Amino acid sequence: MTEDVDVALAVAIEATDDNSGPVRATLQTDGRVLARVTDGIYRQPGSAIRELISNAYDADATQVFISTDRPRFSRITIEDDGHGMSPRMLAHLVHHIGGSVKRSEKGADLGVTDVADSSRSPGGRRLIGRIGIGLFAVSQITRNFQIVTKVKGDPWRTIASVSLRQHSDLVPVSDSDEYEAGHVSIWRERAFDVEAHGTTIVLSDIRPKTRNTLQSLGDWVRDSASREAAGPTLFHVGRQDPSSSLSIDEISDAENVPWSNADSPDVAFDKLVNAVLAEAKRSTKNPRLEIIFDYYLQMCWQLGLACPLSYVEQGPFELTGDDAHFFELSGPGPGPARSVVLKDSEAFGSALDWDPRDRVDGPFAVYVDNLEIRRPIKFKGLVRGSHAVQKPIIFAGRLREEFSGVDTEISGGPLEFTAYLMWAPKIVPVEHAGCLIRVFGASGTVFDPTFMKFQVAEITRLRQISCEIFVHEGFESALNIDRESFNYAHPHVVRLTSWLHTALTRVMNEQKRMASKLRKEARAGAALAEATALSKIASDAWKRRTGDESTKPTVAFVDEARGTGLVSSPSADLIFPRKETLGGDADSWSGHAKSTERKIEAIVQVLAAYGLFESLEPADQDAVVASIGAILRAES
Amino acid sequence: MSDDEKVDDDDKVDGVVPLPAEFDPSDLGGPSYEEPAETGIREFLPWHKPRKHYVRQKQWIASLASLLDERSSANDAINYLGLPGTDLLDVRAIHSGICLPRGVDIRFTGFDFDAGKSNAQGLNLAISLQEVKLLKHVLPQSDVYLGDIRSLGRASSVNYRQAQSSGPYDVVNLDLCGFALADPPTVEDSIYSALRSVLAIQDRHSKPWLLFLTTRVGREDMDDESVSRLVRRLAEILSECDGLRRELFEFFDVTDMSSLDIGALRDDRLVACAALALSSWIFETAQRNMPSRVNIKSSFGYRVNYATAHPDMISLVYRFNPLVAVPRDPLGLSGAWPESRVDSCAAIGQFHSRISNTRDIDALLDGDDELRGRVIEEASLLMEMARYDRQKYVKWASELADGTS
Repeated sequence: MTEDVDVALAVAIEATDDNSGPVRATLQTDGRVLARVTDGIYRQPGSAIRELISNAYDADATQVFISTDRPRFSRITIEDDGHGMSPRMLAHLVHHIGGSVKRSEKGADLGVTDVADSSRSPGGRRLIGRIGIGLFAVSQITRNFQIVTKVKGDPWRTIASVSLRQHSDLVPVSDSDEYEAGHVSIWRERAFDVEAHGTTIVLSDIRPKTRNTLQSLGDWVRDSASREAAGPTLFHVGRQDPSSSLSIDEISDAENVPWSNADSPDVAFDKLVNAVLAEAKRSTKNPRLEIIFDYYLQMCWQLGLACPLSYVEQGPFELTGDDAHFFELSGPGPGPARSVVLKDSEAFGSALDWDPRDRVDGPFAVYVDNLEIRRPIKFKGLVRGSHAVQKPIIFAGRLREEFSGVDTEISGGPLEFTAYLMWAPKIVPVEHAGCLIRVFGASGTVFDPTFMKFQVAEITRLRQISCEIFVHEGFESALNIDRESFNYAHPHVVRLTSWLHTALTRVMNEQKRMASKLRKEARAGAALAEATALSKIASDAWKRRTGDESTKPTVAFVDEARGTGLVSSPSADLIFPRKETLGGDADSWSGHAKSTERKIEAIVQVLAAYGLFESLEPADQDAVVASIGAILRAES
Repeated sequence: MSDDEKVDDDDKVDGVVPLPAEFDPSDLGGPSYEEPAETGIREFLPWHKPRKHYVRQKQWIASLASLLDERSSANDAINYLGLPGTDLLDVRAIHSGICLPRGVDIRFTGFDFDAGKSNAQGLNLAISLQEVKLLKHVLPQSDVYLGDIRSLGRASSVNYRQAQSSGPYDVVNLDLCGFALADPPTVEDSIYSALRSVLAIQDRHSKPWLLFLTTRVGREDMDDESVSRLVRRLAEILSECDGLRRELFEFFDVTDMSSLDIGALRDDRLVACAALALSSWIFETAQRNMPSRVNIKSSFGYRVNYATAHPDMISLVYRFNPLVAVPRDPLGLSGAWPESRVDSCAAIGQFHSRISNTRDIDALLDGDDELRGRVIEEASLLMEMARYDRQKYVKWASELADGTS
């Protein structure tokens, strides 16, 4: 805001009196506030790398290569094959660092967005990054970085060499919009490869604190005070000798990673993901990533969750019949979910009458050193546990909210998303229990284990649910500037939260119904198997003794006492009073009592085969059977 | 942390976490708010000379071409380890000379002192890396790491781990521009240690591979103790090789190799003797755990010290053909196995034959204006790819005096 405008507004305010109306003005922010807000908002170096990957994606890159020089981390380079930046774009960036021309008319003018739609890349991707923010995020990692960029058809390459300044309130700043965030030198170098295109960012002179984080130094120090010799986590990339310098590059601890050097990048990442599942299967305790992986490996995992990348295997909507139980959360409200039965080899997604739209605008691949990063979420080969429901239950849902009758300035415009919620006996790793919101395929958050503050005392069941929500329209303005948290007061967050909480209730109810049904079915199946086995034992004995199994006596238990004349099962050969034989209250008729009755029946038939009952008085017969019953009850 | 600050293990009490170091200004990533680095004006340097281009074309690319010709899997990517400099001229030359015409990909791993640094050379490398990695046949996993060839000599170095994780290689190019023979014995981070590390990494290779070794071999470039040891060992091996020994006596004009006084040798014989002794050491070191047939495919020489009458820089191409390593059976319980031992006398004989016929490429280029013109023209195209002004290069290269081109 310039001084002239400020003065004009002040004069206008001073000129108001009882008779005049208020002065109307628009609220504006100044550059210094922006610098204050954006400088250091990222807590982790991985966030800065994520933002730079987002910028590559927005530049329609198909591949991004990140080289970290691990475990020394002397420099980090991020290379992409995107459109590159023109000198005009670079000039604008330098003057508006912290801002973003994306989603504005200026974006198309500078060639970073689609001509017709400023929310899309020139190649048609929905934009996920904010170009100036990405570069500000770099200050987390270093104060010195270089950009080498090349636009297709340009016989020149553009180079920017940047030295950032630390934000300080002690340095006098003019009240103008311009806030000096650092120095930059920009020049052009003749390009032999006119048709080539892409951007390379070199982060030099990595801050020692950042190197410590990347090297998980805190974990190693902790380890030295407790366990000797072993690494700080199950898997790690080793570390440089803390007392060595960059020039004397001694490794004090060799890496221990779940892949081998000969593995291709995709296989290496598969092995990384499988290592977590293997740990979950090996141990009864559900593993936490921070116990299994050092910072670097966790960062690779988080990038896989954050970037618009394909799943490490199939996605939830590509699963077929045997992989899971499938449901659709159709219709509003808390009604039951609709079971989706898949035909042979039919994918879940194609059985829905709407498109789940979980795919990313590919091709887009991200490599960190020798790992090809993908979304580290698996839906097959999961840990089964001892639950009644062994396979995952996957629910698909969607919402389009027009906010009819509400001004766009209040509602933020329409909101549309699709989602899946997966219930599984064990969500691996622990950190995946929760909900993750992707806006146009990208996410800056981790899984939220509270499911947007879901207030239900179902802690155990919530830990068995993992959910991804794919936002296709809206929500972007609800993201805070670091893209790692939301504005909970935003209408889109409010609406999404209410949908999620309803969906969770439906999921939990359906899971309970299914578990109860499966338990009943399991019990019935077990009873039938037992009855068949017992009947065979008795028949074999009878056949051995008499040579004819068809004459095996039938046995019945009646509720009436002997001699009352009210025998309710006159067709049986041997009849016993139920109460005396099975004990307790005849009303407490459990599956267990039924099993005991079947066993007594078989024993009686075996004894009868040897003529035991023929010589006994009915009262003695009852006594023998009552004793057998008591023994079986005592046994159980 | 200084020695005084170190926590003595014996004094450590369980559960007590050592105090973190106090604030260090270097944690701020440098003390001053400086102007950002720029590339500045780039001068032409010795490795830009036409003769170096001749080495690239006639030695490196030619020997790589024959290696690929003999391969059954002709389309496998070339895995290359080198010291490519900030211009990446070697990789560019291989891409143009081998990869493009044959449709073969290359993945390179390199080391450079300025890699990733915010200085002129670091920036120059960053630009070169983008140019080269956007070339059609360069695999994106290619990278140049901060470091140098000597730190490869320590198995615990970051550079060794980096080289090992992307190895083994089809080509190892140790273009030292310096003195392989200047290192005293048993020094860490020496060229000997680095060569041993390379051989350890290559131990996993089952296919033929190439070692390009460029080093100064002038009289003043040698450590007496190391070279004496090399020559003594050569003499020991030669004691088993009757015919070759006599040939070498004659060549070096001595009656007994063990009495050979390298200080007394003529310049050209000194170069030959040092190169032969070093080659013999490489050969013998390689046999220890990876029996291989080793041949020198080509030997070029040129002058760094222009006052010398004979080349004091030698560029050798070794070709390694790995053989099956047969484990030793101490009790002789296992059956016979084809002999995989390599004939040392034959190998050293072949080395001598190549080294004693080292081509003096200064003389070659000085004596053939047409050839020299052609090499300058080709080199200028390569230089242009690396952002040098082609016309200025042609002028600079054409004006180099005889014997210095």
